Amino acid sequence: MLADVELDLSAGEYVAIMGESGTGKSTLLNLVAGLDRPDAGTIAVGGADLAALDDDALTVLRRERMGFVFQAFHVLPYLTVAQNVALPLALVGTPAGERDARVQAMLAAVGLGERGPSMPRELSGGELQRVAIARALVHSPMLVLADEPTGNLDPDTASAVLALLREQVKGRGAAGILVTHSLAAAGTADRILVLSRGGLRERA
Amino acid sequence: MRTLRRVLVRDLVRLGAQAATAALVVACGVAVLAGMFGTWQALERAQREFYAGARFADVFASATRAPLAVERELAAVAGVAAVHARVVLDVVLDVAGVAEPVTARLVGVRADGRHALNAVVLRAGRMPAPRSASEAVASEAFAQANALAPGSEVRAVIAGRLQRVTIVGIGLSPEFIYEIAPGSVVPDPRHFGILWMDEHAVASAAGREGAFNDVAIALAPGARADGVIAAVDGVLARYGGRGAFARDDHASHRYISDEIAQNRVSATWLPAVFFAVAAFLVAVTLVRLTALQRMQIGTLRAFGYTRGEVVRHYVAFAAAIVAAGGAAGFLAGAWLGFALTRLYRDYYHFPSLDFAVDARLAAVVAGALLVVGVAGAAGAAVRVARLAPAEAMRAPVPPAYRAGRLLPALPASLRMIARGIARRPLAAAASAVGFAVGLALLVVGFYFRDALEVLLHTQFEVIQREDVEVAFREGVGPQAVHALARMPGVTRVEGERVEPIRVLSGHRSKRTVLVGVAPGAELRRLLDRSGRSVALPLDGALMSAQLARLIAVRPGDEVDATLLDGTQRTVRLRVAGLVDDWTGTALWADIAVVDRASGIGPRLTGARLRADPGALPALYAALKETPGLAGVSLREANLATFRAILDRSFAVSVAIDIAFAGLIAFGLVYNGARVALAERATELATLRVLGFTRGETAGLLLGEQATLTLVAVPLGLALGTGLAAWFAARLSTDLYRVPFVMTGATLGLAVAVTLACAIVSGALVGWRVRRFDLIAVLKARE
Amino acid sequence: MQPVFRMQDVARTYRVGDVEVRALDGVDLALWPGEFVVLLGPSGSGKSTLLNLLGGLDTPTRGSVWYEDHDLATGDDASLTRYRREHVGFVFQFFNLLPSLTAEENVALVTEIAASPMPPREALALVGMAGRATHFPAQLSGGEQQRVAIARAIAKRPDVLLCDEPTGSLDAATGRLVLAALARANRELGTITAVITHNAAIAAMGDRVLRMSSGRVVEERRNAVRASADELAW
Repeated sequence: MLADVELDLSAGEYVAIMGESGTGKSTLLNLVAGLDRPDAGTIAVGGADLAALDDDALTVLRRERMGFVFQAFHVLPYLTVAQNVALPLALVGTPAGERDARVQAMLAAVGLGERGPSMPRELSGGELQRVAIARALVHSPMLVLADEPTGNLDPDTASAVLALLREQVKGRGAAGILVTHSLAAAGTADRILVLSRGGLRERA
Repeated sequence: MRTLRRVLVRDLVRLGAQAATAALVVACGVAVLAGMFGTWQALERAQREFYAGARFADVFASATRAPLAVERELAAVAGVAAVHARVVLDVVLDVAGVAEPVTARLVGVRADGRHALNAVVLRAGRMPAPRSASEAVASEAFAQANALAPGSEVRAVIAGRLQRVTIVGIGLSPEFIYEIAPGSVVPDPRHFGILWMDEHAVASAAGREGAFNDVAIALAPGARADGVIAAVDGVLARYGGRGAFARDDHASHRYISDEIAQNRVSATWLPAVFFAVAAFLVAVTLVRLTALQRMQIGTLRAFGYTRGEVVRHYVAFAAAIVAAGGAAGFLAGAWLGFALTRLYRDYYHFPSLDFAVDARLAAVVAGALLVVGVAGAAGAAVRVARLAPAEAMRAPVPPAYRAGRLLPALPASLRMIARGIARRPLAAAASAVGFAVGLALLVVGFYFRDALEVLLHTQFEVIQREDVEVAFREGVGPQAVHALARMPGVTRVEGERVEPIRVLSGHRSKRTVLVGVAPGAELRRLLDRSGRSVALPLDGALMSAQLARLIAVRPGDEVDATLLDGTQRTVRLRVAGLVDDWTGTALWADIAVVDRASGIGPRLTGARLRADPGALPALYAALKETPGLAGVSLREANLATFRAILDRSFAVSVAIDIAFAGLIAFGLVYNGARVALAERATELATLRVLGFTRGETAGLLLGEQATLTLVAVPLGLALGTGLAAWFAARLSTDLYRVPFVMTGATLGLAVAVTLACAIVSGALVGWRVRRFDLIAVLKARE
Repeated sequence: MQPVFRMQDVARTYRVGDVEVRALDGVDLALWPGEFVVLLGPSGSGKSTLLNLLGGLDTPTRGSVWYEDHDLATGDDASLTRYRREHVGFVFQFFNLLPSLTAEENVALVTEIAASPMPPREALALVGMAGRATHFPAQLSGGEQQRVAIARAIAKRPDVLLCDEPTGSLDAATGRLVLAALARANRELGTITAVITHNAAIAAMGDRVLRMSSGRVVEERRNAVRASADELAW
């Protein structure tokens, strides 16, 4: 599925990965997230070699160091907006008082300062994706993975969400990977990499 | 339409496990319905046919000695259609291979066996030759328990002489479908049986030539038993009549009729429970399917499939489940029916007790399946019909969870579980109730066993303290005790005087017995409600609590007791206290009280013996040759025979209970967890990616089911306990009471079995979480 | 020449909770035989509602909708179902293939209830999918699934083909293939084709382009020359 891929990413760096369907974008993402293991080669996140970690250790790595944004948002419908955003903090054991403050600050940063008590069904698609971005960044991860984050949004909403994602990733000193097949979306990243059968190449 | 049918088949295969659980519960319901309804029908049919074919009598009476001419007098009573007078004699037998003495009831028959009433149905061999005193037909159960066949010989003390009697045939009678010795609590075919002998031979053995001591009467159509009973009592009063009684007081008839009534109850409510659970499972599966296939429904409608066609497609899904379960269940039900009727043949002896798969049974099952199908499919069908095509194409509205400030302190995981339950309270409640019912079923199943244990323990270990109980054919003087005391190994003898009476309180009356107990008696205990021995008063009597309830008597009240010994003397007895016994409806008094009441001085009708265990064989041998005994009953031997019968039937019924209750628990949990998995796959995958471990994710998935299960446990225990109490009250009759007992072991075992099934099915679903393809799930469009 | 569809002063309002949403607000529209019409507009502009009304999936709150002599505005469920069955083919953004049926069976699903359909294989050949007839949707790429969906829509020889964001979940190259299949069906079968999209690049393919906003048709444009699918750029 995937051959000869090499990628180095530093803190504060935000790259887009493009590619036709079937070139292995999802596989690449799974490998970086530690959801799948490579047949050959090494992947290291923050100095930790993923191959050396067992499933539970990978889970801990994911909850502490990574943030995710999905095409279909995947905001949990039975938790309020604030509770959704608080989830990663709860997982890493942030004390309740500090947690509330950070959630509130994060929601304000994505422009949803007033929506904390709302249930997800009361929000529009663009707002839901903002919640997802807040959730992906609230615990200050090292790496944010965004998979077609605007695939379900109309163009105007999409560009606002992309701008927010970029601003938040870079502003918090995280590294970001944006997987998309939209050139417009990819254009918001620092650099664009194209995945093909031959591997990962910088877009000319 | 062919293609739509293909969709149906593939959906059924895809949802196979879930459809199969629902089908299995349907199958259970059908199996229980077919098996129990069929058994009920078989018992009823067997009883009806046997009664009709052998002309079972309606009224029964016995007397000391009535001339044969009286038979015509009885036949002339208004409302009497037919009369059959005969001589009946209880004797002690020596049967080869049985160490203990055996009691037999000799019943006089005509050589052709063709009586007006209570005909003997020959199963093997022939009727005894006319006037032969050495030939007899043995009752089937007795013959089977003692390996008697035509040609076998038994020895009996008849008319003071030890005689050989050859078994020439094996027979059945509508009077002895349930063969139980007089005064006994449990059937014991090894030690009690019926021997039909030529009527003249029995009459002469009993010293009743030209007379009868027992009569059976058939009522004319429309005649009332009460009137006939009064008239018969009038006629027989001069001949030592003991009070006529109707079928309701006929032991065999009562046992079998009570059993049939119980079967009818369990053939109704037990399947109903399964069908309710099955309909619920079908409904859940189907509603979930239609929710998942909103878009498919919309697409089909957009292409021009009519509402009816699409609804029919989903209804067919329910129909397939119900039909598959129904077919499997019908086969299992037939098996169950055959197994149950086979068990019943141990207890009840009919010429034919055959489970039959007939049109009526099929119709009942088909009707039940229709109800389950309709109930299971209705919800989904309405949803499908209501779904506007345009609506179906739109992305589904996210489920409406409410924020609720109720549980602010709960961690997120518990909050998810709580909101999951709160979102569909009805489905959650139905699931919990279903589980509780399954558990209750098991509690009740185990309870019956406990109740019987208590009954047997109380009767055979606490109340009855003797080794041997003997009955004298005629009342004997108190000195008979000394003769018994001199028999080998006997360490204690207590005489007893049992007189049939009719007890009267206000306008209520009841035919029963008055038991005169020797002063200082130890071999039979009378217990009060709390299990303490009650001392006999010097004056007055103790009354069975059941009898007191029946005729509305309280301690301190006075009742009239009319002796049914032919004297018809009536005495007034003060009820000094109540005895909480498990069987019968007797009154007890000091033997002197009974002697005074009878007006004919001290007499004994029986005695209880305690003997040195080592000397029992010698005692048995001596008893077999003692003339004048109408019967010998042996506490331990009785209990052992009954237990053997009991264990066989309990093994089967407990296995069935466990299988069925376990299946309900398994089905509900499995189904619930599968639904949760399907509905929340993306949520669970999201959580996994966010950093929940596999265990935490599986916990969330199963948390809802686990919570419902835990809620259901106390509910099920309460329901089971309540049901057991209800059964105890409902099944208690004059013949015996069913004690209400609930032990921790029973409750614990029932919980353990159901939880084990729940855990296994939960684990099966939880296992799937391990094999989640996370990204594939998340990539899928919402 | 008579228009095939006539829509006059059509309004459609929905209630979402306590809020009344005006999806369409006074639309007049006529569609002519053989036309390829592109409906453009952002989400929420009412274009999906318009398509639902044309397809007999929904009825207007106000106004009249006619397909030839079928009254689509006041029809009951049975008559609308008959209309859809006899005249309409649908193509959806998310393909809406039945996952439990193969490509050929998905097409058969529609041909079985049509009056004079073409054989499923022939319809699949028209969209270049004859070689994948026995594949299940899960074994097909997005573009292939959409082409099967188009085959399914045209197999019954519908009078009108209604397409809701047919390329919305496809990348550009695949989208072009799908659009080419639509154009071919329109050309060879003479089916009236209406495509709704928010992708302005597709507009060049249509005979006519209608732009919608806030429940109204705000702009109508006629292309002198229809672009072919491979000329589109997005």
